[in-house]
Amino acid sequence: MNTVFETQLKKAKTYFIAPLIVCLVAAASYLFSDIVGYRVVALILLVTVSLIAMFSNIIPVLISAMLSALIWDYFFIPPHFTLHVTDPEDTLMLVMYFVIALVNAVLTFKIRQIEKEAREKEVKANAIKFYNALFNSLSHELKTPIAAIIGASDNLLSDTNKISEDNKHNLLSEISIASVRLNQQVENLLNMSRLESGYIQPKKDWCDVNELVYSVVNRLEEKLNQHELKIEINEKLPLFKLDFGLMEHVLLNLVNNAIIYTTAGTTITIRVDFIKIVKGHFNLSTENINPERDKEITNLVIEICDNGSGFPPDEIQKVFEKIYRLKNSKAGGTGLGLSIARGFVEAQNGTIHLSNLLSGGASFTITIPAEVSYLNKQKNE
Amino acid sequence: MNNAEILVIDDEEQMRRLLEITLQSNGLHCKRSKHGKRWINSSS
Repeated sequence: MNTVFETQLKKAKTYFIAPLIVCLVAAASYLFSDIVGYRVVALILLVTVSLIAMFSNIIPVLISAMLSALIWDYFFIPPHFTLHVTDPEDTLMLVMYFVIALVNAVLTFKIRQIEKEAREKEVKANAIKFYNALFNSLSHELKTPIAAIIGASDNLLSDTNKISEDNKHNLLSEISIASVRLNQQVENLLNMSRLESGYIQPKKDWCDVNELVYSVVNRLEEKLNQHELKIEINEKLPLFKLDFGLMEHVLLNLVNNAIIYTTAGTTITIRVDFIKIVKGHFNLSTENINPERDKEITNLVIEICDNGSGFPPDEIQKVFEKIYRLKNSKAGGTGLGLSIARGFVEAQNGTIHLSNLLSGGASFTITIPAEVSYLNKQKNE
Repeated sequence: MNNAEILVIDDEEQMRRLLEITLQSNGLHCKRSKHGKRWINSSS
C-alpha cells in the first residue's frame, strides 16, 4: 500500500518538477537574453526539454515542451510579454520549435521505454535461468532421498523373512539419513526464499558460543565419525548477542560441507576467538579483559578450517553465489548452502570469507560485530 | 542361490548402499563402485 502511494507521489512530483525546471532555466536565460539573443534561448530550452525527457514520463515532458514554447514566445520573441508574433520568420521558428520540442521529447521517451523493456527482459531471462538451474539441482537433491525412503520402506514391508536383522537395521538407518537430507534441502529452500524476500530479521539474544559450537557438533556427530575434529575456543570468550538459530544454521552448513567435500581422515578445526575494537584500534582478546565493559561492541571470529585439498583459486570468489557448484564437485548438493550461510551472516552485519591455507586445505572465517557480556557469562559459570 | 556378482554403480553413496542391501537380501552378491571405469581398471 505504502509502495503504491510512494510511486504515485513520485509521479506527481515529476509533474511539478519538470515544468519548474523549464521555468528556472527560462528565468536564468532571461537574465542573459540581451547577450545571447532569443534564438539561442530557444536552443537552451530545447536542450532542457530533452534532458527532462531522459528522466521523466511522457506527460510531464509534453507539458514542459508546450510550456517552454509558450515561455519562449511570451518572454523572448519580440514584441515581449505578448503571445503575438509579428515577424513571419519568428512565427516559422516558433512552429518549428514547438514541433522539434515535441518530437525530441517523444523520441527520447521512446528510447527510454525500449531500454527499460530490454532491461526487464534481461532480468526475466536471468530469473528463468536461475530457477531452471535451481530446479535441476533440486530435482536431484529431492528425488534421491525420496527414492531412498521409498526403496528402503518397500524392502522392509515386502518380504521381511528374507531380510536379516542387520539389514533391517541398516534399512531403517538409510530411511533416517534420507529423511534428514530431505529435511535439510527443504530448510535450505525455505531459508533461500526468506533471504530473497528480505524477510530475515535476526532475533538477537545472549548466546554462549561454546554451546553453539557443541550443538552443531552433536547434530553432525554421526557424519563426523570418519573425520578428526578439533575445537579451539578462547577460554575468555564472553556471551555474544546473536541469533542462535541463524548462527547454528551457518555453522551446520560450513561443517557439513567440510565433511562432505573432504576425504575421510581429514582434520576439521573449529576455532572461536574475539577481537575488541577501541576507537579505531583493536586489541587481541587475550589481553586485559575488563568485566566492567560489558556492553562493548566486539567482533566474534569463527574459523572453520580443514586440511583437505582446498578450493580451486579461480572459483573462490564464486562459491557464495546462489546455486554455484564447483566444476569438479561430487554428485549431490544444490549450491544453496554457502549462499545461505553468507546471507545469514550478513543479516547480522557480519562477513564471511573463504581462503585456501598455505599448509593445504581451506578456511572459512566468519566475523560478526556483536554486543558482549562478561557478567552474564560469569553468572552462568 | 547364484554365484554371479553384480556391480552396483551409482554416484550417490546412499543408493549404492540401498541396492547392496536389497540384492543381498535376495541372495545375490554385489560390489559397489562410484565409477564403473575406475572399478574395472582397478580390478583387472
